[in-house]
Amino acid sequence: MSTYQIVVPLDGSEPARRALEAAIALAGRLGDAELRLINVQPPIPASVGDFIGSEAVHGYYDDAAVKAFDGVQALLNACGVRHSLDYRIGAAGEAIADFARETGADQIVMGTRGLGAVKGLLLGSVAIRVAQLASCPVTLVK
Amino acid sequence: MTSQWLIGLLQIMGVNIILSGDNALVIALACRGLPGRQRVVGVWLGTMAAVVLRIVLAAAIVFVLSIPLLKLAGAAMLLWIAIRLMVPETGAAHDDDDRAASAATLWMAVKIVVVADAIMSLDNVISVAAAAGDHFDLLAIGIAISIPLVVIGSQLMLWLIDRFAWIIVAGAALLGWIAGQLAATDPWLDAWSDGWVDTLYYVLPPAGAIFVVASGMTLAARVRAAKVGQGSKEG
Repeated sequence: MSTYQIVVPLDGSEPARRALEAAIALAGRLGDAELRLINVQPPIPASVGDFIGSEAVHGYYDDAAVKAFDGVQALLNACGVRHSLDYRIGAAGEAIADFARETGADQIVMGTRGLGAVKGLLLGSVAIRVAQLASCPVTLVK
Repeated sequence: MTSQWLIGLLQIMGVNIILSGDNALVIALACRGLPGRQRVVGVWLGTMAAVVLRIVLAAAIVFVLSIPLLKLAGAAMLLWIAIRLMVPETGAAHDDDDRAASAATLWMAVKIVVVADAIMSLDNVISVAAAAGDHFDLLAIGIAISIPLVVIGSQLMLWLIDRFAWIIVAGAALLGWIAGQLAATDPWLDAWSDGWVDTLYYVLPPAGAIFVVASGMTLAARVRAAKVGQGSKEG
């Protein structure tokens, strides 16, 4: 059996951290599992990139990704589970679902901000979008 | 207060959020690579320059736009920035990219910011003047609103892009619409045509909006299909 791939979206928030903890626990039970951590950032418009150059924009994306992963680095090092870090640029829901499909993920474990039903509906929560688009099971962690 | 005045005010609010936010984002990103104190100085100088340029250009713009053909040129500028707004900058390096990789010196950052401030302030003032039309009070209000937006705009802009991606499309469409308004009132067109320029005033704004959204979506799809802008860091 091939390694069980768990995609965990990270954005530096507390719910995302709790989702990672849940994913680590899950990976520990499964034994042969790998965590695919993904950070998604909103795109900087090309109208800005035209002036500052695409390399500077790339640098900004890199830094923002490092910041998103920073808080969980210790947790990752301590858990001993195999993992990889990636980031994508785009709409969060779509990018996470695409990433999961491309990496052949078996499961997505992600945090939800736990907004009420009405507010969550109004703001179009990322978790709802991922659940709609993903082709693998999605676990939401509160 | 007529409905025309109110519509003008709403248009001005819209373009200000988009264009001043964009300008602020350039300043913030251009100064990103500078060490602590220099970054603060760079952002502060860049913001002040953008504010001063807006005030100076606003004073001159009504006269400038009365010169034949300049409204058409302004419209072309607005169409360009509107389309570029919709295309995500993926961060993929181009071969011909000789711009600052990361403005490591204050001087490099200043050069980027000055050029960007000049062009973006011009875009901002032209679009505010176009939306204000004959209402000078709207022009003054529009420039006044743009100033705090340059100061706080970069975080606001990033938050808007993150939360409400459609705002960029709406803002680009609005700029396309205003470009159409601007082009339709060019004195050269008015003198050249006899009568049919009135029809243009109804045709060009929606045409501008549709053109921007269609081109922007096509280019954005092409960028996304190229699958660039992905980063990876093995852990």
